[in-house]
Amino acid sequence: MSVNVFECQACGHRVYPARLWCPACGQDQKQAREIAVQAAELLAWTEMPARPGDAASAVIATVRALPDGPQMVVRLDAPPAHAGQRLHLFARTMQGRALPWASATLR
Amino acid sequence: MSVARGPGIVSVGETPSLRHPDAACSTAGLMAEAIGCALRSAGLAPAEVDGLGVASFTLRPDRAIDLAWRLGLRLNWCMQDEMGGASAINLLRQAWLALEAGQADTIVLVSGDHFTGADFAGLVRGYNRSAQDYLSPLGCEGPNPLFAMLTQRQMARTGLRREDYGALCVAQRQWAADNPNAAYRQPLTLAQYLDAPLVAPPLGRLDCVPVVSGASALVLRARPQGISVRLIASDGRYNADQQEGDGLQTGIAEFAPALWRRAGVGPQDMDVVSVYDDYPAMALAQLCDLGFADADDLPGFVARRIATRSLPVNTAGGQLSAGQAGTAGGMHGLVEVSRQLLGQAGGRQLRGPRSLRHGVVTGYGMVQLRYGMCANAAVLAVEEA
Repeated sequence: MSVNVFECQACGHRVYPARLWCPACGQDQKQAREIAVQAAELLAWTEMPARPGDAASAVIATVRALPDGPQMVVRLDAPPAHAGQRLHLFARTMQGRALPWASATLR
Repeated sequence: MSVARGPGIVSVGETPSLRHPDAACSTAGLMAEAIGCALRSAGLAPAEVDGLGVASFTLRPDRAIDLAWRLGLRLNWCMQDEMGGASAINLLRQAWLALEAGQADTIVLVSGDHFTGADFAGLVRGYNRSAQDYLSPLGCEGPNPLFAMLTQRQMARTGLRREDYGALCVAQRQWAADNPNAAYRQPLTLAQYLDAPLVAPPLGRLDCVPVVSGASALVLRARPQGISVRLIASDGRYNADQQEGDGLQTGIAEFAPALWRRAGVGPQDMDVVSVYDDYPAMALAQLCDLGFADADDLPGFVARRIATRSLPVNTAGGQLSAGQAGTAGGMHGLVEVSRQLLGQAGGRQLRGPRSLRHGVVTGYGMVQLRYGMCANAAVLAVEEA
Protein backbone atom coordinates (compact mmCIF):
# COMPACT_ATOMS: atom_id res chain seq x y z
CA MET A 1 0.00 0.00 0.00
CA SER A 2 1.61 3.22 -1.16
CA VAL A 3 1.41 6.21 -3.47
CA ASN A 4 4.27 7.19 -5.77
CA VAL A 5 5.49 10.78 -5.39
CA PHE A 6 8.32 12.46 -7.28
CA GLU A 7 11.70 13.27 -5.75
CA CYS A 8 14.24 15.65 -7.27
CA GLN A 9 17.53 13.85 -7.94
CA ALA A 10 19.49 17.04 -7.26
CA CYS A 11 18.01 18.29 -3.96
CA GLY A 12 15.64 15.58 -2.74
CA HIS A 13 12.54 17.84 -2.76
CA ARG A 14 9.31 15.85 -3.19
CA VAL A 15 6.22 16.86 -5.17
CA TYR A 16 2.91 15.41 -6.30
CA PRO A 17 1.88 15.48 -9.06
CA ALA A 18 5.08 15.65 -11.11
CA ARG A 19 6.34 19.04 -12.30
CA LEU A 20 8.62 20.01 -15.16
CA TRP A 21 11.27 21.65 -12.98
CA CYS A 22 11.92 21.29 -9.26
CA PRO A 23 10.21 24.15 -7.36
CA ALA A 24 12.99 24.06 -4.76
CA CYS A 25 16.15 24.01 -6.89
CA GLY A 26 15.09 24.46 -10.51
CA GLN A 27 16.48 21.14 -11.71
CA ASP A 28 14.81 19.60 -14.78
CA GLN A 29 12.59 16.80 -13.50
CA LYS A 30 12.74 14.38 -16.47
CA GLN A 31 14.91 12.21 -14.23
CA ALA A 32 12.84 12.60 -11.04
CA ARG A 33 12.83 9.48 -8.85
CA GLU A 34 9.49 7.88 -8.12
CA ILE A 35 9.31 7.19 -4.39
CA ALA A 36 6.64 5.03 -2.78
CA VAL A 37 5.24 6.72 0.33
CA GLN A 38 3.06 4.77 2.74
CA ALA A 39 1.98 7.13 5.51
CA ALA A 40 0.51 10.61 5.81
CA GLU A 41 -0.74 13.06 8.42
CA LEU A 42 -4.26 14.45 8.04
CA LEU A 43 -4.37 18.27 7.78
CA ALA A 44 -7.98 18.96 6.70
CA TRP A 45 -10.95 17.21 5.14
CA THR A 46 -14.42 17.76 3.71
CA GLU A 47 -17.18 15.77 2.17
CA MET A 48 -18.73 16.23 -1.27
CA PRO A 49 -22.34 15.16 -1.53
CA ALA A 50 -22.98 12.11 -3.69
CA ARG A 51 -23.71 12.96 -7.32
CA PRO A 52 -26.37 11.13 -9.28
CA GLY A 53 -24.98 7.66 -9.96
CA ASP A 54 -22.49 7.78 -7.06
CA ALA A 55 -22.91 5.22 -4.31
CA ALA A 56 -21.73 7.55 -1.53
CA SER A 57 -20.36 11.00 -0.83
CA ALA A 58 -16.69 11.64 -1.59
CA VAL A 59 -14.49 12.37 1.43
CA ILE A 60 -11.64 14.62 0.30
CA ALA A 61 -8.60 15.39 2.45
CA THR A 62 -5.41 17.42 2.48
CA VAL A 63 -2.55 15.37 3.91
CA ARG A 64 1.20 15.66 4.37
CA ALA A 65 3.05 12.58 3.24
CA LEU A 66 5.45 11.32 5.90
CA PRO A 67 8.23 11.88 6.56
CA ASP A 68 9.22 14.46 3.91
CA GLY A 69 6.04 15.56 2.15
CA PRO A 70 4.62 16.62 -0.16
CA GLN A 71 1.26 17.99 0.91
CA MET A 72 -1.36 16.47 -1.34
CA VAL A 73 -5.11 16.24 -1.88
CA VAL A 74 -6.35 12.66 -1.56
CA ARG A 75 -9.61 10.76 -1.38
CA LEU A 76 -10.46 8.98 1.88
CA ASP A 77 -12.36 5.70 2.09
CA ALA A 78 -14.30 6.94 5.14
CA PRO A 79 -14.72 10.13 7.19
CA PRO A 80 -11.69 10.65 9.47
CA ALA A 81 -11.67 11.25 13.23
CA HIS A 82 -9.50 14.34 13.71
CA ALA A 83 -6.79 16.55 12.19
CA GLY A 84 -3.32 15.21 12.87
CA GLN A 85 -4.33 11.57 12.64
CA ARG A 86 -2.07 9.10 10.84
CA LEU A 87 -3.35 7.68 7.53
CA HIS A 88 -2.20 4.92 5.19
CA LEU A 89 -1.77 5.94 1.55
CA PHE A 90 -2.76 3.74 -1.38
CA ALA A 91 -3.36 4.19 -5.10
CA ARG A 92 -6.65 3.43 -6.78
CA THR A 93 -7.29 3.54 -10.50
CA MET A 94 -10.09 5.96 -11.36
CA GLN A 95 -11.01 6.93 -14.92
CA GLY A 96 -7.87 5.14 -16.08
CA ARG A 97 -5.49 7.02 -13.73
CA ALA A 98 -3.77 5.84 -10.56
CA LEU A 99 -4.89 8.43 -8.00
CA PRO A 100 -3.96 8.92 -4.33
CA TRP A 101 -6.29 7.60 -1.62
CA ALA A 102 -5.83 7.24 2.12
CA SER A 103 -7.40 5.21 4.89
CA ALA A 104 -7.30 5.24 8.68
CA THR A 105 -6.98 1.46 8.63
CA LEU A 106 -4.38 -0.69 6.95
CA ARG A 107 -6.06 -2.25 3.96
CA MET B 1 -7.41 67.37 -4.22
CA SER B 2 -4.18 68.02 -6.03
CA VAL B 3 -3.72 68.49 -9.74
CA ALA B 4 -3.85 65.18 -11.61
CA ARG B 5 -0.76 64.25 -13.54
CA GLY B 6 -0.66 61.09 -15.53
CA PRO B 7 -3.45 58.65 -16.28
CA GLY B 8 -6.77 58.23 -14.51
CA ILE B 9 -9.84 56.03 -14.43
CA VAL B 10 -12.61 58.30 -15.69
CA SER B 11 -15.69 56.07 -15.70
CA VAL B 12 -17.10 52.61 -15.06
CA GLY B 13 -19.91 50.47 -16.43
CA GLU B 14 -21.50 47.24 -15.33
CA THR B 15 -24.38 45.05 -16.48
CA PRO B 16 -26.86 43.56 -14.04
CA SER B 17 -25.71 40.18 -12.65
CA LEU B 18 -28.03 37.77 -14.41
CA ARG B 19 -28.90 34.56 -12.58
CA HIS B 20 -31.13 33.32 -15.41
CA PRO B 21 -30.17 35.17 -18.60
CA ASP B 22 -32.39 34.77 -21.64
CA ALA B 23 -31.40 32.72 -24.68
CA ALA B 24 -30.15 35.78 -26.58
CA CYS B 25 -27.54 36.56 -23.90
CA SER B 26 -23.88 36.24 -24.97
CA THR B 27 -20.50 37.05 -23.46
CA ALA B 28 -19.68 39.58 -26.21
CA GLY B 29 -23.13 41.15 -25.89
CA LEU B 30 -22.70 41.62 -22.14
CA MET B 31 -19.23 43.12 -22.67
CA ALA B 32 -20.61 45.53 -25.27
CA GLU B 33 -23.29 46.61 -22.81
CA ALA B 34 -20.76 47.27 -20.00
CA ILE B 35 -18.37 49.13 -22.32
CA GLY B 36 -21.22 51.18 -23.79
CA CYS B 37 -22.35 52.15 -20.31
CA ALA B 38 -18.81 53.21 -19.28
CA LEU B 39 -18.23 55.22 -22.48
CA ARG B 40 -21.57 57.04 -22.18
CA SER B 41 -20.76 57.85 -18.57
CA ALA B 42 -17.45 59.42 -19.69
CA GLY B 43 -19.08 61.22 -22.63
CA LEU B 44 -16.78 59.39 -25.06
CA ALA B 45 -17.52 58.00 -28.52
CA PRO B 46 -16.27 54.54 -29.55
CA ALA B 47 -13.98 56.22 -32.10
CA GLU B 48 -12.04 57.82 -29.23
CA VAL B 49 -11.03 54.44 -27.79
CA ASP B 50 -7.56 53.32 -28.87
CA GLY B 51 -6.84 50.60 -26.31
CA LEU B 52 -8.72 47.48 -25.23
CA GLY B 53 -7.92 44.96 -22.48
CA VAL B 54 -10.14 41.91 -22.10
CA ALA B 55 -10.54 39.12 -19.56
CA SER B 56 -12.98 36.26 -20.12
CA PHE B 57 -13.35 32.50 -19.85
CA THR B 58 -16.28 32.23 -22.25
CA LEU B 59 -15.51 34.64 -25.09
CA ARG B 60 -13.86 31.79 -27.02
CA PRO B 61 -13.44 31.03 -29.82
CA ASP B 62 -13.21 34.83 -30.08
CA ARG B 63 -10.38 36.76 -28.47
CA ALA B 64 -9.82 40.39 -27.53
CA ILE B 65 -9.10 41.42 -31.10
CA ASP B 66 -12.23 39.67 -32.39
CA LEU B 67 -14.26 41.62 -29.84
CA ALA B 68 -12.57 44.82 -31.05
CA TRP B 69 -13.62 43.97 -34.60
CA ARG B 70 -17.19 43.23 -33.59
CA LEU B 71 -17.32 46.59 -31.78
CA GLY B 72 -15.62 48.44 -34.64
CA LEU B 73 -12.76 49.65 -32.44
CA ARG B 74 -9.49 50.68 -34.15
CA LEU B 75 -6.73 50.18 -31.60
CA ASN B 76 -3.11 51.01 -30.85
CA TRP B 77 -3.07 48.70 -27.81
CA CYS B 78 -4.85 45.39 -27.29
CA MET B 79 -4.35 42.77 -24.59
CA GLN B 80 -5.99 39.71 -23.14
CA ASP B 81 -5.58 38.24 -19.68
CA GLU B 82 -6.78 34.87 -18.43
CA MET B 83 -5.97 35.08 -14.73
CA GLY B 84 -9.54 34.97 -13.44
CA GLY B 85 -9.92 36.82 -10.17
CA ALA B 86 -6.52 38.45 -10.58
CA SER B 87 -7.07 39.57 -14.19
CA ALA B 88 -8.65 42.97 -13.52
CA ILE B 89 -5.77 44.40 -11.48
CA ASN B 90 -3.30 42.71 -13.81
CA LEU B 91 -4.90 44.51 -16.77
CA LEU B 92 -5.10 47.77 -14.82
CA ARG B 93 -1.37 47.67 -14.09
CA GLN B 94 -0.52 46.98 -17.74
CA ALA B 95 -2.92 49.64 -19.02
CA TRP B 96 -1.42 52.19 -16.65
CA LEU B 97 2.08 51.55 -17.99
CA ALA B 98 0.79 51.78 -21.57
CA LEU B 99 -0.90 55.13 -20.91
CA GLU B 100 2.18 56.51 -19.17
CA ALA B 101 4.35 55.34 -22.06
CA GLY B 102 2.13 57.02 -24.64
CA GLN B 103 1.13 53.74 -26.28
CA ALA B 104 -2.54 54.66 -26.04
CA ASP B 105 -4.71 57.60 -25.02
CA THR B 106 -8.04 56.00 -24.04
CA ILE B 107 -8.13 52.40 -22.86
CA VAL B 108 -11.21 50.34 -22.09
CA LEU B 109 -10.79 47.36 -19.76
CA VAL B 110 -13.60 44.83 -19.79
CA SER B 111 -14.26 41.51 -18.08
CA GLY B 112 -17.30 39.38 -18.68
CA ASP B 113 -18.68 35.89 -18.83
CA HIS B 114 -21.92 34.23 -19.75
CA PHE B 115 -22.56 30.82 -18.25
CA THR B 116 -25.15 28.18 -18.66
CA GLY B 117 -25.09 25.47 -15.95
CA ALA B 118 -23.18 23.09 -18.20
CA ASP B 119 -20.60 25.77 -19.15
CA PHE B 120 -19.72 26.39 -15.53
CA ALA B 121 -19.43 22.70 -14.59
CA GLY B 122 -17.20 22.16 -17.63
CA LEU B 123 -15.06 25.18 -16.79
CA VAL B 124 -14.27 24.03 -13.26
CA ARG B 125 -13.87 20.35 -14.15
CA GLY B 126 -11.21 21.16 -16.73
CA TYR B 127 -9.97 24.43 -15.18
CA ASN B 128 -6.34 23.46 -15.69
CA ARG B 129 -4.30 20.28 -16.13
CA SER B 130 -4.28 19.48 -12.41
CA ALA B 131 -8.08 19.79 -12.19
CA GLN B 132 -8.63 17.83 -15.38
CA ASP B 133 -6.19 14.96 -14.80
CA TYR B 134 -6.06 14.67 -11.02
CA LEU B 135 -8.53 16.54 -8.81
CA SER B 136 -11.74 16.14 -10.82
CA PRO B 137 -11.27 12.40 -11.48
CA LEU B 138 -10.52 12.00 -7.76
CA GLY B 139 -13.95 13.48 -6.95
CA CYS B 140 -12.55 16.83 -5.81
CA GLU B 141 -14.44 18.88 -8.36
CA GLY B 142 -14.41 22.67 -8.49
CA PRO B 143 -13.17 25.06 -5.84
CA ASN B 144 -15.69 24.23 -3.05
CA PRO B 145 -13.88 21.22 -1.49
CA LEU B 146 -10.51 23.01 -1.55
CA PHE B 147 -11.86 26.16 0.09
CA ALA B 148 -13.86 24.04 2.55
CA MET B 149 -10.55 22.58 3.75
CA LEU B 150 -8.92 26.05 3.90
CA THR B 151 -11.90 27.34 5.88
CA GLN B 152 -11.66 24.39 8.29
CA ARG B 153 -7.96 25.17 8.86
CA GLN B 154 -8.65 28.91 9.25
CA MET B 155 -11.33 28.13 11.86
CA ALA B 156 -8.93 25.88 13.77
CA ARG B 157 -6.17 28.48 13.68
CA THR B 158 -8.13 31.67 14.42
CA GLY B 159 -11.18 30.59 16.41
CA LEU B 160 -13.54 31.88 13.69
CA ARG B 161 -16.93 30.11 13.81
CA ARG B 162 -19.56 29.65 11.14
CA GLU B 163 -21.48 32.52 12.79
CA ASP B 164 -18.56 34.87 12.01
CA TYR B 165 -18.49 33.95 8.33
CA GLY B 166 -22.26 34.34 8.42
CA ALA B 167 -21.93 37.86 9.84
CA LEU B 168 -19.74 38.81 6.86
CA CYS B 169 -22.29 37.36 4.42
CA VAL B 170 -25.16 39.18 6.17
CA ALA B 171 -23.24 42.50 6.07
CA GLN B 172 -22.46 42.12 2.37
CA ARG B 173 -26.13 41.42 1.69
CA GLN B 174 -26.96 44.68 3.48
CA TRP B 175 -24.59 46.50 1.12
CA ALA B 176 -26.19 44.72 -1.86
CA ALA B 177 -29.63 46.09 -0.97
CA ASP B 178 -28.63 49.39 -2.61
CA ASN B 179 -27.03 47.82 -5.70
CA PRO B 180 -29.71 47.43 -8.38
CA ASN B 181 -27.35 45.18 -10.39
CA ALA B 182 -26.86 42.63 -7.57
CA ALA B 183 -28.18 39.09 -8.01
CA TYR B 184 -29.39 38.97 -4.38
CA ARG B 185 -30.67 42.07 -2.59
CA GLN B 186 -33.29 40.84 -0.12
CA PRO B 187 -32.15 40.89 3.53
CA LEU B 188 -30.33 37.80 4.77
CA THR B 189 -30.50 36.67 8.39
CA LEU B 190 -27.82 34.75 10.25
CA ALA B 191 -30.37 31.97 10.81
CA GLN B 192 -30.92 31.68 7.04
CA TYR B 193 -27.15 31.52 6.54
CA LEU B 194 -26.73 28.79 9.17
CA ASP B 195 -29.74 26.82 7.90
CA ALA B 196 -28.60 26.75 4.27
CA PRO B 197 -27.59 23.26 3.15
CA LEU B 198 -23.93 22.34 3.58
CA VAL B 199 -22.24 21.94 0.20
CA ALA B 200 -18.83 20.84 1.52
CA PRO B 201 -18.57 21.13 5.32
CA PRO B 202 -17.90 23.60 6.84
CA LEU B 203 -19.04 25.51 3.75
CA GLY B 204 -22.76 26.08 3.35
CA ARG B 205 -24.49 27.22 0.21
CA LEU B 206 -24.30 30.89 1.24
CA ASP B 207 -20.51 30.72 1.60
CA CYS B 208 -20.38 30.10 -2.15
CA VAL B 209 -20.73 32.83 -4.75
CA PRO B 210 -23.79 32.58 -6.99
CA VAL B 211 -22.71 31.98 -10.58
CA VAL B 212 -24.12 34.72 -12.80
CA SER B 213 -23.67 36.15 -16.27
CA GLY B 214 -22.48 39.73 -16.52
CA ALA B 215 -19.73 42.15 -17.49
CA SER B 216 -17.79 45.03 -15.93
CA ALA B 217 -15.81 47.79 -17.65
CA LEU B 218 -13.53 50.73 -16.86
CA VAL B 219 -12.38 53.62 -19.04
CA LEU B 220 -8.88 55.00 -18.49
CA ARG B 221 -7.39 58.09 -20.10
CA ALA B 222 -3.81 59.26 -20.37
CA ARG B 223 -4.68 62.88 -19.56
CA PRO B 224 -8.07 62.92 -17.85
CA GLN B 225 -10.09 66.12 -17.48
CA GLY B 226 -12.11 66.69 -14.32
CA ILE B 227 -12.44 64.04 -11.65
CA SER B 228 -10.55 60.77 -12.07
CA VAL B 229 -9.15 57.91 -10.04
CA ARG B 230 -5.41 57.37 -9.97
CA LEU B 231 -3.47 54.20 -9.30
CA ILE B 232 -1.03 55.30 -6.60
CA ALA B 233 0.52 51.90 -5.85
CA SER B 234 0.05 48.29 -6.86
CA ASP B 235 1.75 44.94 -6.60
CA GLY B 236 1.14 41.30 -7.34
CA ARG B 237 2.44 37.83 -6.50
CA TYR B 238 2.01 34.91 -8.84
CA ASN B 239 2.83 31.37 -7.66
CA ALA B 240 4.49 32.94 -4.63
CA ASP B 241 4.66 29.75 -2.54
CA GLN B 242 4.62 27.02 -5.22
CA GLN B 243 1.39 25.66 -3.64
CA GLU B 244 3.51 24.36 -0.78
CA GLY B 245 2.16 26.58 2.01
CA ASP B 246 -1.10 26.37 3.95
CA GLY B 247 -2.99 28.82 1.72
CA LEU B 248 -4.23 30.81 4.72
CA GLN B 249 -2.17 33.81 3.68
CA THR B 250 -2.19 35.14 0.14
CA GLY B 251 0.77 36.67 -1.69
CA ILE B 252 -0.59 40.06 -0.57
CA ALA B 253 0.93 39.53 2.89
CA GLU B 254 4.38 39.57 1.33
CA PHE B 255 4.00 42.91 -0.43
CA ALA B 256 1.49 44.83 1.74
CA PRO B 257 4.00 46.77 3.91
CA ALA B 258 5.92 47.98 0.84
CA LEU B 259 2.66 48.70 -1.03
CA TRP B 260 1.44 51.03 1.72
CA ARG B 261 4.88 52.66 1.95
CA ARG B 262 4.86 53.42 -1.78
CA ALA B 263 1.27 54.66 -1.63
CA GLY B 264 2.11 57.02 1.23
CA VAL B 265 -1.12 56.02 2.97
CA GLY B 266 -2.13 53.05 5.12
CA PRO B 267 -5.14 50.87 5.84
CA GLN B 268 -6.46 53.48 8.27
CA ASP B 269 -6.69 56.00 5.41
CA MET B 270 -8.94 53.86 3.19
CA ASP B 271 -12.44 55.25 2.66
CA VAL B 272 -13.60 52.21 0.70
CA VAL B 273 -12.25 48.66 0.41
CA SER B 274 -12.84 45.74 -1.90
CA VAL B 275 -11.37 42.31 -1.23
CA TYR B 276 -11.84 39.35 -3.55
CA ASP B 277 -14.59 37.37 -1.85
CA ASP B 278 -14.78 34.02 -3.59
CA TYR B 279 -15.34 32.64 -0.06
CA PRO B 280 -15.70 34.48 3.28
CA ALA B 281 -12.49 32.86 4.56
CA MET B 282 -10.49 34.35 1.68
CA ALA B 283 -12.04 37.80 2.15
CA LEU B 284 -10.91 37.72 5.79
CA ALA B 285 -7.47 36.34 4.86
CA GLN B 286 -6.92 39.27 2.49
CA LEU B 287 -8.11 41.83 5.08
CA CYS B 288 -5.47 40.33 7.39
CA ASP B 289 -2.82 40.33 4.69
CA LEU B 290 -3.51 44.02 3.93
CA GLY B 291 -3.23 44.97 7.60
CA PHE B 292 -6.89 45.81 8.32
CA ALA B 293 -7.24 42.91 10.73
CA ASP B 294 -4.98 41.15 13.19
CA ALA B 295 -4.78 37.42 12.56
CA ASP B 296 -4.95 36.87 16.33
CA ASP B 297 -8.33 38.58 16.65
CA LEU B 298 -10.35 37.81 13.54
CA PRO B 299 -13.60 37.07 15.40
CA GLY B 300 -13.32 40.45 17.16
CA PHE B 301 -12.54 42.18 13.86
CA VAL B 302 -15.64 40.67 12.24
CA ALA B 303 -17.81 41.79 15.16
CA ARG B 304 -16.39 45.33 15.38
CA ARG B 305 -15.71 46.30 11.78
CA ILE B 306 -17.51 43.95 9.37
CA ALA B 307 -20.84 43.12 11.02
CA THR B 308 -21.32 46.79 11.92
CA ARG B 309 -20.23 47.85 8.41
CA SER B 310 -18.00 50.49 10.03
CA LEU B 311 -15.29 49.38 7.59
CA PRO B 312 -16.85 49.76 4.13
CA VAL B 313 -15.84 46.45 2.51
CA ASN B 314 -17.41 45.15 -0.71
CA THR B 315 -19.96 47.92 -0.76
CA ALA B 316 -21.90 46.65 -3.78
CA GLY B 317 -22.49 43.32 -2.03
CA GLY B 318 -19.34 41.65 -3.29
CA GLN B 319 -19.48 38.49 -5.28
CA LEU B 320 -21.24 36.72 -2.40
CA SER B 321 -24.37 38.81 -2.99
CA ALA B 322 -23.88 40.61 -6.30
CA GLY B 323 -22.77 37.36 -7.97
CA GLN B 324 -19.66 36.05 -9.68
CA ALA B 325 -19.78 36.61 -13.42
CA GLY B 326 -16.61 34.60 -14.10
CA THR B 327 -13.70 36.94 -14.71
CA ALA B 328 -16.02 39.93 -14.18
CA GLY B 329 -16.03 38.89 -10.54
CA GLY B 330 -12.45 40.12 -10.45
CA MET B 331 -13.34 43.48 -12.00
CA HIS B 332 -16.47 43.99 -9.94
CA GLY B 333 -14.49 45.25 -6.93
CA LEU B 334 -12.32 47.58 -9.02
CA VAL B 335 -15.46 49.01 -10.62
CA GLU B 336 -17.16 49.51 -7.26
CA VAL B 337 -14.22 51.25 -5.56
CA SER B 338 -13.71 53.46 -8.64
CA ARG B 339 -17.43 54.23 -8.72
CA GLN B 340 -17.43 55.22 -5.04
CA LEU B 341 -14.33 57.40 -5.50
CA LEU B 342 -15.86 59.05 -8.59
CA GLY B 343 -19.00 59.77 -6.55
CA GLN B 344 -21.20 57.75 -8.90
CA ALA B 345 -22.50 55.03 -6.57
CA GLY B 346 -26.07 56.36 -6.40
CA GLY B 347 -28.09 55.08 -3.45
CA ARG B 348 -25.09 53.33 -1.91
CA GLN B 349 -22.67 56.25 -2.25
CA LEU B 350 -20.59 56.46 0.92
CA ARG B 351 -20.87 59.95 2.36
CA GLY B 352 -21.34 62.85 -0.03
CA PRO B 353 -19.90 62.75 -3.54
CA ARG B 354 -16.27 63.85 -3.69
CA SER B 355 -15.74 63.37 0.04
CA LEU B 356 -13.89 60.08 -0.39
CA ARG B 357 -10.18 60.12 -1.11
CA HIS B 358 -8.67 56.64 -1.07
CA GLY B 359 -9.61 53.06 -1.74
CA VAL B 360 -7.93 49.68 -2.04
CA VAL B 361 -8.88 46.71 -4.21
CA THR B 362 -7.53 43.16 -4.25
CA GLY B 363 -7.63 40.34 -6.75
CA TYR B 364 -7.13 36.66 -6.02
CA GLY B 365 -7.53 33.50 -7.97
CA MET B 366 -6.41 30.75 -10.31
CA VAL B 367 -6.69 27.69 -8.11
CA GLN B 368 -3.96 25.15 -8.78
CA LEU B 369 -3.60 22.09 -6.57
CA ARG B 370 -4.91 23.55 -3.33
CA TYR B 371 -5.65 27.30 -3.50
CA GLY B 372 -5.28 30.41 -5.61
CA MET B 373 -1.88 31.10 -7.15
CA CYS B 374 -2.43 34.78 -7.93
CA ALA B 375 -2.96 37.74 -5.62
CA ASN B 376 -2.66 41.43 -6.37
CA ALA B 377 -3.76 44.77 -5.00
CA ALA B 378 -4.21 48.35 -6.15
CA VAL B 379 -4.35 51.48 -3.99
CA LEU B 380 -6.44 54.19 -5.65
CA ALA B 381 -6.88 57.91 -4.99
CA VAL B 382 -9.35 60.40 -6.40
CA GLU B 383 -8.00 63.54 -8.02
CA GLU B 384 -9.36 66.44 -10.01
CA ALA B 385 -7.51 68.07 -12.89
